[in-house]
Amino acid sequence: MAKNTTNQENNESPGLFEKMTTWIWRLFSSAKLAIALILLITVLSVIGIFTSVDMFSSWYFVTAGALLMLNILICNINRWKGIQKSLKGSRIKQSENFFEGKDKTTETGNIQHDSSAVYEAAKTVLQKRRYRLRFENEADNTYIAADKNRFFILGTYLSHLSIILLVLAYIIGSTLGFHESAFIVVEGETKEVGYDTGLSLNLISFTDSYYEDGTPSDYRSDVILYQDGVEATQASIRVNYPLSYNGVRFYQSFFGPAAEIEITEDSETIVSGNIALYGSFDSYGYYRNIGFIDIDESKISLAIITPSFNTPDPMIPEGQLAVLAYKDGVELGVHLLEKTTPLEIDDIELTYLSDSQYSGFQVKNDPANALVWIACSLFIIGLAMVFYFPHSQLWMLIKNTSPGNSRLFVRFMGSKAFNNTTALKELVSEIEYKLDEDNNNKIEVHNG
Amino acid sequence: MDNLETVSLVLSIAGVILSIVFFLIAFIGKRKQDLTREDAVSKNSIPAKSGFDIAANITVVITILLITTAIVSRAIETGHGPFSNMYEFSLAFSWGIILAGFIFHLRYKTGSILNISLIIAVLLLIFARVQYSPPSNLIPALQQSTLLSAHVASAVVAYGTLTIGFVAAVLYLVQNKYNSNWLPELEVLDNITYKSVIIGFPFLTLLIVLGALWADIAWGRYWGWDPKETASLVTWLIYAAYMHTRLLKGWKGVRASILLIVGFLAIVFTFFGNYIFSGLHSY
Ligand code: HEM
Repeated sequence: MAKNTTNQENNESPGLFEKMTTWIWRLFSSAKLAIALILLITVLSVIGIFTSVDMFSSWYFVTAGALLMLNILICNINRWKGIQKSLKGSRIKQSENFFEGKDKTTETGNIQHDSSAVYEAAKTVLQKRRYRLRFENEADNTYIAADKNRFFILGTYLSHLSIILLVLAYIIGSTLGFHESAFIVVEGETKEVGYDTGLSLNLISFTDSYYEDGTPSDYRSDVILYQDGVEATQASIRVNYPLSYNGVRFYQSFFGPAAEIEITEDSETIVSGNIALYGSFDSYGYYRNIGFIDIDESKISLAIITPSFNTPDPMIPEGQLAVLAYKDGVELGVHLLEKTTPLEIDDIELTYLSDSQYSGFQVKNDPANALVWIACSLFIIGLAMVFYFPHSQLWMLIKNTSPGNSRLFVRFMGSKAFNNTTALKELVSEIEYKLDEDNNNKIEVHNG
Repeated sequence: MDNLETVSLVLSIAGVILSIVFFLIAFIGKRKQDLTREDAVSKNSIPAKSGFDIAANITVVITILLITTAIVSRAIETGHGPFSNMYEFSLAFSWGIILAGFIFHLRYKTGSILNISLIIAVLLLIFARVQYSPPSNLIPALQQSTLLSAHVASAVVAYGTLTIGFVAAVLYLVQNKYNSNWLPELEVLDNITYKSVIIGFPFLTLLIVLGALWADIAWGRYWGWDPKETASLVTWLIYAAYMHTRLLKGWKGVRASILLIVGFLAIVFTFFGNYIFSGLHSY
């Protein structure tokens, strides 16, 4: 008994479940949803342009995008059967009703030729237009099914699945790869890239050059790249010309001042090298660069500040630096630092030796890089296939009405995008013209 | 070079205006003929080509050559394609519009579409003249001549042909309302709109792809939702919507024309976008 009930329940619940899945499947294979989602994403993007809301990582934008991807996927799976049919080619023999529609069909009046002559003329015309022709004879009727460019309909798959591929590439890139947007290296320094790459980058020098009018002409970092401590390559990294090594790319991104600083404590050197002054801040309209040094042992933090770079600085003379020192978070005061003149702060002695520069790179590893370009190419190839080689099908019925007389019925199915009536008319008149021409030729032969 | 460039530009403006005048005279002449014949068939019969028709066509060709001269001499001077500022790009854009309009005219014999395109082109040429800026040095981000030239070349083809689609769409709406025998037939107009999209849309796609390729090597990212990038995506989506309504729902005529007009407005917005919002794009 109990067994029976469960069985019954099992029989019923798939019914509901099935209904649901069918409904969802239908919804996601509908073109209406596709159009609605495309328009929704368009509208959201427009809002994104005009507002400062971070639209493109918002849940509604991402959801709309995800739904569209699902839509594309299901839509394309759903179309496969129809596509398969088109690839095989439809049946040749069609009933007379099939030729009675509105805009896609036509029939001629009486033609004073028998059906074999009409068939020959139609064959010539269709083959000239590169149609594949199949025919069947039955009693007084000749049936023709012709199609063209049937394999090019697969382009639709290329163009749609490539969109999914692109999204996939994005997801792979952002989960498996890495992107470091501010990898700062000062001149003379060698810095590890990390992310298990075993790479480290040494900046030999950074050069910024300018045209006579003051606009920048070049930003160039001369670098040495080490793999596991062994020199791998030397390169100049410039804007538009990144360094690429083993899938890791270094892009010239930004740059700024650095200062060579030496710090001693009890005549022992504890800091020596270039310090990147990579921060910038605005103080009453004076823009200054700033960099930091933390000395853990003596709990001293130093902020090194450059003279203002937008207007002459009333506080920090050109060629000098300001130092703001803290000990245990308590301010020790501001000092000016002159080149090569040692300055004592608390227990340490600070010397500003020379100016240098730092260079800021973006470091990126995108394992799906190639996939992005493959997807983009597939999209365009798919477009070209569908647009420039439109699939078209047509069917003909040639009826022998009496000896030497026949009628022709045509149904044409080209791209929905075009107006097919004209194409249909042209086709039929070309066949009629061809028949006349053949006839005239025969007469000429007789005369001769 | 500088002189040749300016002279060609000014002459080309005169050339466009002259061709518009020639076309109008030819057009009105033809209509007069039709009206005096007063038979309905005349709408479909091709009237004899008047001298003004031929003169108009020749003037258009000369104008195209003049703009080509201006673009080429500018390129020789700067050493790169027309991509570094609005002046250069407007010049290239108007070249694309006139060329596309002329090709469509040769194929479909629709002088009215070419004529309105010429009006758009001459406004752009005047805009270019006003915006004139002497060649300036390229900042590092723009020092990728090959990619950027290809990027802009796709834009010229895409925007040029889609402008023709826009004009045909507007004429479609007008014709649909007034059924005038001054204008091409609805079916012809509708076919032209679709033709313009199947040429323009792939190039629009290529435009965005090449832009992403450039952004990837210049800035280390394909896509950053910069306003100009987003605007080009919006444009692309509108045309994608157009494709789907047309291919799947069989939308033609009025609704399709309205979508195309919206798509073109998106192009205009993208083109002039840098005046509205500041992004990384200098044009
Ligand atoms: C942003 C997303 C989409 C883009 C950019 C896109 C692009 C295109 C393009 C360019 C065409 C015309 C040429 C071709 O078939 O390649 C097309 C046609 C088509 N699209 Fe989409 N599509 C998208 C989403 C969808 C979705 C979600 C569906 C599912 C309903 C769909 C279904 C179709 C179908 C059935 C065709 C008609 C193919 C034909 O009959 O020739 N598309 N799409």
